[in-house]
Amino acid sequence: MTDHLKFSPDILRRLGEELVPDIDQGIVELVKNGYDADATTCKITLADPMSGNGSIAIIDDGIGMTGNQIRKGWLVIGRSDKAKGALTSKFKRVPVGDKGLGRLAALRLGNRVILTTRPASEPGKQYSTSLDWLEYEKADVVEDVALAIAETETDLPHGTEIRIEGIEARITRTTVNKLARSLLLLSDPFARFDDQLSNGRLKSTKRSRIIDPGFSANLLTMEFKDLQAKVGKSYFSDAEYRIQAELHANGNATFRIMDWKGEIVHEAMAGDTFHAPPFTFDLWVFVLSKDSFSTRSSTLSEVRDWLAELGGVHVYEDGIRVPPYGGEENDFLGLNLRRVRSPEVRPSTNTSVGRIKINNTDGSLIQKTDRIGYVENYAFGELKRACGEALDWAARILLKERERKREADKQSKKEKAAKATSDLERVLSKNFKPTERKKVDKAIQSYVKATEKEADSLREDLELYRSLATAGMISAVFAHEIGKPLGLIDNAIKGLIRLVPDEDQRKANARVGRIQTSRTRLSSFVSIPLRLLSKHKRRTGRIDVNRCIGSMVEMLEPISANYDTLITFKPSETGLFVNGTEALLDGIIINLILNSFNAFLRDNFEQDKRRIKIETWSDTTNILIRIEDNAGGIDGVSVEDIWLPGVTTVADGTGFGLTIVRDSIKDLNGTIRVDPITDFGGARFTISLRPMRELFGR
Amino acid sequence: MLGTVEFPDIEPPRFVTIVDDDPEDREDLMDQLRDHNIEPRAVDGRYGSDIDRLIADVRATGSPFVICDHRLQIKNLASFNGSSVIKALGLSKHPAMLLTMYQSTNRLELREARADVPVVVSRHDFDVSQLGTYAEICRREFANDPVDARRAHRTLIGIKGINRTYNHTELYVTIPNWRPDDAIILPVACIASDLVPQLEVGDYLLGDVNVGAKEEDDLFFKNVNEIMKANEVTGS
Repeated sequence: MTDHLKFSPDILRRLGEELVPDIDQGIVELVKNGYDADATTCKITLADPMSGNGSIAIIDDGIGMTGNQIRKGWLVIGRSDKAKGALTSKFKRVPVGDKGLGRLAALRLGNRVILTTRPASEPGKQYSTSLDWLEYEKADVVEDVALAIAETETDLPHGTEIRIEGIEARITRTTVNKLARSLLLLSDPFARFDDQLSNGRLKSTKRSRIIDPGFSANLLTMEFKDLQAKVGKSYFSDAEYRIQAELHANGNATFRIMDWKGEIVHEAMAGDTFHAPPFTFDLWVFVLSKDSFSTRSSTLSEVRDWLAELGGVHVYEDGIRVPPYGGEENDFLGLNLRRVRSPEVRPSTNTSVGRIKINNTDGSLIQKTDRIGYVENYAFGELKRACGEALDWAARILLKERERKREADKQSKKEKAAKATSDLERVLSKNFKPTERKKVDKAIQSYVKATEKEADSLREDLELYRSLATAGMISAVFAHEIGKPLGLIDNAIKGLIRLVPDEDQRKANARVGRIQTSRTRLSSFVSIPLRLLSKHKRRTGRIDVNRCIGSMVEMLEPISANYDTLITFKPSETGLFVNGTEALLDGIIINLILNSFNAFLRDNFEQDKRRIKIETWSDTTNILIRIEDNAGGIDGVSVEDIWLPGVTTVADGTGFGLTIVRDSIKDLNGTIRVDPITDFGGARFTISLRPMRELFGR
Repeated sequence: MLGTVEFPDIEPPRFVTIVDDDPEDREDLMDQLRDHNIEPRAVDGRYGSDIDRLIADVRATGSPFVICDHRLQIKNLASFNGSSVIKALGLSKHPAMLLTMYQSTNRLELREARADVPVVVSRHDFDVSQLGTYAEICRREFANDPVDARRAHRTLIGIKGINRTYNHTELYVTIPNWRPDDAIILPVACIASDLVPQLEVGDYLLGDVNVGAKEEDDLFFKNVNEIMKANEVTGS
């Protein structure tokens, strides 16, 4: 007697829904089967998807399957007809479906699947079969359920229809949106713009398109139409520039920067070779500022919306998208990280859209079993490295360009000023008699003198800001470096204590205790600039006001203890959020606190119990932050003047603290009020900020 | 500090009183003194603006020498600074020295007070074995026989620049008898108040300056009460 390995129906669940948990991803796999069948269109309809008894139909116009193909291919889970390297029969496409597991997941969405297919090779014939999953639930092993393939006559053209019925799981709006996005991006939506984007080098792609009319998947829902309308527009010409990397079959790469018309402005061969399949990486980078859109036909919000839908770098292997690259929060090339490291002239996922077109005929890139991305193998690592090198190369070029532009601007301003002066001279000589001219010259001279004074003062401010920036950078470097000597101190202390004879240990411990206390103080002081300069603090976004102030107060604890000052913070009962950067809010709070510390240290000012009170609350319209101290109030300077740069009552002070406070509050769209002296015994600053919900209408 | 002034044969005082708002720094100084068999005595507490009470407490310790920290406000020991304490002790010829971190914020304050503070030492350079020298410098000053580096000479002070900020004026000056090429900041508080409104770049002032000082931080200015206008100097 011969035995066979048999499979319990449970294995279907393991291989299906557990392996490919996302409904949209399963459906996309069925659509990919249509692509592999040389279809040009695939329609997906959802009937009552949210009812708990819905159905899905996937209908393509591909070459269909014969009865034998159903028997040997479609019904065999895990086997794919698509031998690697073999192209499809009609359009010579590289097959994108695989293993059939994603397909199984989709088929198991409902209780029943009906397959109807009309092979192009047998005109007039139609084959159909159905899978009733409830029957499998009852069976002991998968093989116990018998299947029949019916053959009928038909007038309909070739193609395949898969209908999944009795879908119990409710397909939510989010899933539909996700599905719509996945289908829309499945077949390269950028391709339709290739004509206008092409600059000659991508012609080969264009030629192959003459044979293959392309493939489109349409989800027949409103969500899809909306999305299609958005994605269907082209804003590529609004891009500031485009970065391109082209990896050739021999491993050499060419990097390019192109202008909005697609004309090459910079081009270079990469200094290294890359062991990845040939690909072309394009990244369109946008400058999303009002100024840059003031002279364009499209609006900033249109482009922003478009980027929100399309943004990110999408990967297309032989014309079909490989998720999750370019999907929500997917930043596999580390664009955002690179931007954080060097914010100037670097794109982020919010300000760019990109595509990598890969020709993976050698199969060195391997898609994961769950069809979500590539296996992180050497070839994929090389692909990412090549793209990263291209981005770094472009950043270096753009940085140089920007510096050159700045210098040119300066020069052009000088030339303009010289021309204006000579024009003025000419007009004056022509229009004034020599006697009147003297008076005019005098008036002009006094005007020029006043203007120069103003310019001098601005220059001085700039110098000071530069010095402060340098000091900030140096203190950050110093803070980084100080870790080593601090560690050395710890070790030296331990070593010394061991050398001290037992009878002197008590005395030695007192001194060691002091060293350790000083070491802790030093360590906490030097960590402050590092924390303040932390890059995430300069990212714009939703700022939790209470958390930000709370952590600032905690961070300043060693300093407040040093100044014998008690800082109390009373946060609002409910959360308060503003849109901005933590660095701005930090700057406001720390400058006001330092202002209080300085006030306490004024000569001849007495305050036995130094206090700083911080409180936050919301008055339903605004977020309010109050900072007050008992340091004697504002003295020696008029209240109106405290915001002016350079105004200080501290010897050798910069006088920039409150100017920074004022400017930062302005940046956060807020206001600040000052009471020079209150019952508490000092100055009170009340900051009013607009809450985030007001800014964004939610 | 005062260049290479040293009196190696002078014995250090046997008792020294320390005035320092920071307990850790105070204890550290006391340990350093103990290591050299000098008995430290400390004054601490809260004095607010009552300098007389602090001076009385210092005297009560009976030490012949006082080491005083400059910034007494940070930990709220007093609302005045250490140079005021040294000045007050100097009125009764009580030898005392000032310890400072010499941070930029103190430098100009100290220059204003430097004429009345014979010894200022950075915390970093403080050396207990030099206490005898520090005390001798004070003694010589009180005996009207200051060390060369503290001896004042009537000298010209050239005004090279005037920086008038919101509520503060600083002069950039050179002292030809000291270092003719080094411009330093002279606080207007060191100048007779009636001269201040007349000051212009190019003018020269006359005052008593210890031109034997080795370091800029040791310079002091007294009796800066005469002015020579730029046009008088050039004779135009």
